[in-house]
Amino acid sequence: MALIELKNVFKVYESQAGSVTAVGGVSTSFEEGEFTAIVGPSGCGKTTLLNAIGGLDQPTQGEIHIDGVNIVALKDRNLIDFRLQHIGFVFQAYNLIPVLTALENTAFILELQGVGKKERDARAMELLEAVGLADRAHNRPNQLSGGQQQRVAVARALASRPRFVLADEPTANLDSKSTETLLDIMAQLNDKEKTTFIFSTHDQRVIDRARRIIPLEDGKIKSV
Amino acid sequence: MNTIRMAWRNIWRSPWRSAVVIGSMSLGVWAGITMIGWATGLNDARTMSMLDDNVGHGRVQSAAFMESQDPRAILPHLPAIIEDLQRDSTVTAFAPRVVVQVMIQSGSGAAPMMALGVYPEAEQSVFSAARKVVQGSFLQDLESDEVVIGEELAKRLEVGIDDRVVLTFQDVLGEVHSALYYVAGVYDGASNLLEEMMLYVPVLNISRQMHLVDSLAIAENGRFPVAHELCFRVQEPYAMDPSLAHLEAQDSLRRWNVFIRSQIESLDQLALDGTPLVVRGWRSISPELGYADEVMAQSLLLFMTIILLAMAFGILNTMLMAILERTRELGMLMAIGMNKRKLFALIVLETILLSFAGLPIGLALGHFTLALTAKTGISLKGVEKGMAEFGIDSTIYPVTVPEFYLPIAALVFVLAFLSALYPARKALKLNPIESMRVL
Ligand SMILES: Nc1ncnc2c1ncn2[C@@H]1O[C@H](COP(=O)(O)OP(=O)(O)O)[C@@H](O)[C@H]1O
Ligand SMILES: [Mg+2]
Repeated sequence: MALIELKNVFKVYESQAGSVTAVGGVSTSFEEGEFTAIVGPSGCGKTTLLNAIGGLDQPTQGEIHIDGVNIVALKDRNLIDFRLQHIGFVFQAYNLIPVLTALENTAFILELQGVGKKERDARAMELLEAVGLADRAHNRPNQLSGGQQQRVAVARALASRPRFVLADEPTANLDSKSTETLLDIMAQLNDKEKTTFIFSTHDQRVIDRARRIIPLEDGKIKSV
Repeated sequence: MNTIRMAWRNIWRSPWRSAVVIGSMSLGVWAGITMIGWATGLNDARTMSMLDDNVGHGRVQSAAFMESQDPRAILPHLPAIIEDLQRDSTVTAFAPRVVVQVMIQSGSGAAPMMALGVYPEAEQSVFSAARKVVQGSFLQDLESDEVVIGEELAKRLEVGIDDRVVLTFQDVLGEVHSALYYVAGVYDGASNLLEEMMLYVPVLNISRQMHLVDSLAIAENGRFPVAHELCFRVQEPYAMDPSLAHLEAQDSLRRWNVFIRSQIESLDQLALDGTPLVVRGWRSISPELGYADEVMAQSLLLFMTIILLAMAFGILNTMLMAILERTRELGMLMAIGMNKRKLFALIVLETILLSFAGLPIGLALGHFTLALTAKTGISLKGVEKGMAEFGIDSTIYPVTVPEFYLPIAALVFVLAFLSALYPARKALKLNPIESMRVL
């Protein structure tokens, strides 16, 4: 059984100006251990699709199964808990809590999960080391560069050992060197921790690093 | 625990804004506490002056006298009661009294009065009214035909020192007596009302005429042969419950049911003998003084609530601003899996911390202010006259009011919680992806 299975997923936005079909019937599946990029120009529906997979947004139609659970049918509060327990998120920006240090940010999800302080700090430190920021553990986000902040976000997403990590254009705000570093780290963690990564991008250098590419055009998967 | 730390750090993201809230909270609490301390000091002073004047801190009476003011209900075995009273180390002075309803008459008027038959020295050791004699002098002995009246009464009856007045009263045998007295002194009571209600006569003089005692009883019962009530002072009138309990346990007060027979053989004293003795504190003697304390405390708390309510709106507004500034972050928190309960807790905690930060500062400032002014006092010279009407001295000594600190803290807690609800609701209604959308 696939880790994630999308069946004919639609997302239509209704407004006075008319309806916009952001995602128009996507069916695909993701296996454990994938390192996959959802690729396409701005406005093609990448964010909408990732939000649906991550249970942040309700599709208009279709089913999304994660480990056999149809998350579309989950109630709101169960969905929050499902996200907490099973999915790691890296957003394009504003990932971190400004008043917490890198270490506290990395340990935050573990704390929400109720993991004890000793254990979560050890795990958070392990991941900060993996993303090369052990020496910045006690710095707050505003003392870190954009690239470093994204690395802390990756560390946080992975700290709780989620079933997969969703990253919506994680490098969009980074320079090329930071982009390179972040992708190195993600690829490494994909190898080492066997973490499944699904990320979106329209940056060719990022696309080149992906092991699987899902090209998106006008909300549909482009047949190659 | 970490939520508290996070909430605390969140408060300091806008240090100036939070400082303003905390500062105004401190000022509000300071002003409130200071007002409460002054008002309480004023009220305590009024209470104390009434107690000093003629209420006393406590009294021993028979239940029969307490019920009906029946002049026959004199205290049995008075010497034994006095002995027990003197053994109590918290009791500092005592004064036995005979109380008789009389009518006073002068050439220019008449008034119903309460005549206090007193042992002058004892009376003066307990009551300030007996000491504040402005014309003439207080009673000198136990037997003479002298009377000391209040200033207001003297004015109304148009009498002065050595003038004659007539007291009319009914003795315990039912016969009406009218007797001539000379005004020996005029006292200045704490309240004008009381000056028109009470006068002093020598105890044995009135007791003989009332047929309360005969020479035999006077010879047998030592220094204090007769009394309806035994008034006393204690060291701490605001903490006298233990003294009362201790006195009640004394033998002389428990032996009420084996009373020695009254000395007045001709009277049927059986019913009166059958009533117990009671020890009463001033709150029971003069309930209105106790009520005044309670009503005062309640209105002061209400006053504080109004101040804090105004603060609460400021806090609500500040929290609302904080939430609006942080929509992205709150959206992100919900997206990564922070549930509504935790988010609610975070915001409520932030509000409560913000509200509570100023509280100890305000309390400390208030306490300090009161402790300082409590020593020096605040003089109200201009309104001396008006204050006298109500039995108040013209210098207020504010008191520290630690008994209010906990209720105020509870009030702040409740109001902080209430003012957190609206901002928290706003936060919980945020949609994670809407609020995180990158434009
Ligand atoms: N909340 C919304 N309301 C209306 N239209 C939306 C909304 N969110 C996204 N869209 C539209 O859906 C389409 C896909 O958007 P999006 O998923 O953000 O694309 P991408 O992430 O690939 O840039 C766009 O045309 C966009 O304008
Ligand atoms: Mg997008």
